[in-house]
Amino acid sequence: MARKEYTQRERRYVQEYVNERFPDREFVIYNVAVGPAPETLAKAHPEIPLEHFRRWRLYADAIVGWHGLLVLVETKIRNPKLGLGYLLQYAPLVHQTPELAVYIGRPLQLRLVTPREDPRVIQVAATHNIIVDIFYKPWVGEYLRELGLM
Amino acid sequence: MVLENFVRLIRDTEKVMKFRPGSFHVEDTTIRDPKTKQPKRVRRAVLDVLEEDYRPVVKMFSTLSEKLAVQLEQAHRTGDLYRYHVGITWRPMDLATEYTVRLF
Repeated sequence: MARKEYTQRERRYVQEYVNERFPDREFVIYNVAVGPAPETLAKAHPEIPLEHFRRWRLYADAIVGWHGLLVLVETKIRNPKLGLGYLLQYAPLVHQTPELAVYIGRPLQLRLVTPREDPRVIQVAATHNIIVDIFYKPWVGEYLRELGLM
Repeated sequence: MVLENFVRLIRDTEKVMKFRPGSFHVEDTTIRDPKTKQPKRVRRAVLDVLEEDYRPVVKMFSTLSEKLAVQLEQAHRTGDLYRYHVGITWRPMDLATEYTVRLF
């Protein structure tokens, strides 16, 4: 059986979202490795090999500089509940990210972006100050229908 | 002095580039697979580089990474790829290589 070709949907989705919601942004960084550099972590924890920190870096979908804020964006097309956990993991690390050192002190806004509402996710997000932004695109709907999720 | 026509990414270091407007394209090409040593057909995203780390150059940038190519193609469609400086950081991890892309 021929292997099904893998398609990068979330990369496209996050870029379309950022372009539509933040046309007046200052900057955007996609696929940001959040937290201290692996070398810094390995120095502080010599019992853990450097390769561990390199391999298991934490990647946020996007960070947007917008209206004096740093907006941490996590997109989930299929399963939005996973995005809640990622945002909570990444948030405390954003201000320790070397590439973002010049923006230290800017307030952080957390956004979970997903194509349809899930009341359970919205309820949990509200208790953690996470904004759930429903962002629907026809091609995403088509994909979800293919999967029988819409 | 080594003269290079291609922009080379360095591990964990951001390379900042300006691309020639409209230059994004995808080429079908054959490479030697570094692991199997066998010829392999691949698709490569290619761009003309006008600036490298804020210095004017006449170079090319290319990538075989599907993940990176999707991001660059999307930014090409919106024009962001040419409107902004583009910083690309390569984080090699064998089969799980990641690229960070900054548009600013």
